[in-house]
Amino acid sequence: MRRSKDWRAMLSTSSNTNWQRRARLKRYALYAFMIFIAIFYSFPIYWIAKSSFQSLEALFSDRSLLFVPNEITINHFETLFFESQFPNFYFNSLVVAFGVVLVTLVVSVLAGYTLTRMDVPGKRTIANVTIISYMYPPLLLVIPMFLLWFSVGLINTHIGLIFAQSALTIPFSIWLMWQFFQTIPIRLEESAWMQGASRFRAFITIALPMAKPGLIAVAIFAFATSWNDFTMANILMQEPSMRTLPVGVLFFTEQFNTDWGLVLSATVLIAVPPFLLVYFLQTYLLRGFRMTT
Amino acid sequence: MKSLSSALSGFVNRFSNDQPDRRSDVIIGSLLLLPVFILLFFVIFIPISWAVYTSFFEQSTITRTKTFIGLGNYAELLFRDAEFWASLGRSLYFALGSTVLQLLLAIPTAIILNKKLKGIVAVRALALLPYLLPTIVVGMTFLWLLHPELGVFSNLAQMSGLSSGPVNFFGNQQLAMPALIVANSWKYTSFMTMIFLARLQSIPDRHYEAAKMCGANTYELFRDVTLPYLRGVILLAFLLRGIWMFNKFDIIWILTRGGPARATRTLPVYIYEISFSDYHMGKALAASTLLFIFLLVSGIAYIRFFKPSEEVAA
Repeated sequence: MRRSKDWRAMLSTSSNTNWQRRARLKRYALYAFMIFIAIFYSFPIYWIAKSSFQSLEALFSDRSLLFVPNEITINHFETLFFESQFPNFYFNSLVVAFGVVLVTLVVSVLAGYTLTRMDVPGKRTIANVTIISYMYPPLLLVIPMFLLWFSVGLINTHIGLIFAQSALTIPFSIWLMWQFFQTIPIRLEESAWMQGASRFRAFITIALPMAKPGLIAVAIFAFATSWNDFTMANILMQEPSMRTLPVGVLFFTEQFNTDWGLVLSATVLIAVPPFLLVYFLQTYLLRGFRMTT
Repeated sequence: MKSLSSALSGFVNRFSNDQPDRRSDVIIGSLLLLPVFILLFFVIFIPISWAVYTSFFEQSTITRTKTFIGLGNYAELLFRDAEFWASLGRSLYFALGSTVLQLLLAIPTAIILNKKLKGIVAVRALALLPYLLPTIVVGMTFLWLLHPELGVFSNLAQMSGLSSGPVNFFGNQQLAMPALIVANSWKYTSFMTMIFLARLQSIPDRHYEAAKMCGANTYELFRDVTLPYLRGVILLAFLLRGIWMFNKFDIIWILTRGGPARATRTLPVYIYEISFSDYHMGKALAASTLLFIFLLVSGIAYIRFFKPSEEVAA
């Protein structure tokens, strides 16, 4: 008992001078780095959010780099909602994004389950498509799509854009679900079959619920890809009323003079769904990323 | 016990008559894969093969007149079009700059995010956010931050005396490309950070403890424990991100449209312009095919040389 106390006392006196202080310094340095990272990522977002609540006069005259604006106005948001096509763009983006999520989920679950659970031809083809899909330029897909979609009447339609964007999401999603189903032990399904469950039932009641984290990762990836897509929507949605958010907002900067009020407020509102995703699904997101490596 | 016996009898039953056998597996499996193949066929296979086919024709984007010219488009691009090579060079600048900057930012960030610090979970979520923000948001944000008269950075540069007048980042031929690379990397560093973080979390603590016991300092810990674990992932990320950045079109078009005076006109931007400003669809598709071949060849060479997948034996 006594000896251990001595030992501890000895340790604390000798260390205070040297390694304990260094350890504390190292800790401070780590926190400084962490705060720097936080500022690096949050400053641009904060700054654009702040600016969107300032009047144009304040934006044009205020050079003081105020971190908190003197007065707040929601004028820009009102103009955006009642005098621009913005609500229309938002609707288009949402419809297309949900369509892409649906198509991607169905296809990647079908492929992932079949490829891990059944001995089928075509495994190699799908694996090769996945690898090569990392390399083909999206423009190589979308320029021919422009003419092909045109000839079958899919240009300027939600369905047409949903299929086009699915070409971006599907290869990676198939690969993700393929990896994911491999981590779910097949024994559970086998024991269900043995007890008389059909293959379909074992899939619905056992495999699918266990694949939920993978499904969520695929859904987030598909949503983010669709919400992000500019290249395809820019070429396939020529009609102004069919534009999605990224293309529509770029046109705010084109009308002879950029209307910064519209641009800033629109930018903030486009960022809302990704914010909500990150906030509610942090753990799933990190788990999903872990799957991919 | 009861369930075990029923499982056993079920097993015997299955074995005797209707156990899912290999032949029916192949049929059902193929049926299930059919929609997958049909979709891949229509959205990937047809467009790409049609693109390669059309690259042998002189075809306008608007009118449908088609004249077979064999390798004419390719010959023109490779031997008579200086802008093709110039834009390829700019693509290399943009892709290498972006990938290297992202690596340099992502490795230390991932190491910090892997530490057990107060509030680290919130910072991790924050570091993930830019990857999910659409390019248009990132583009508009940087257009605003780097605006010559109204932007923070131009004002800061003037107030601190670094610059005598407004700094027009995207309007200056020397500054436009670095500014683009920074904006692009702000978004995509997240992705690399998350991949590295996932890898770091798989390093067992005992490796670090053993190294510390042997008297390793912080730098040696990084060099001899962390880096060997990260090597494979870094090599793979460098390849995949490099290719991805090479193909990048959206952020460049949103921020500069290839300007000022071609300073940021990378190959994808040039291809878009051949197709939708000059209306030479055949030539544009030949250029896309060349870009694809170039990436495919360098990708295969890279994989042969570094063998990144062997190192990621997770």
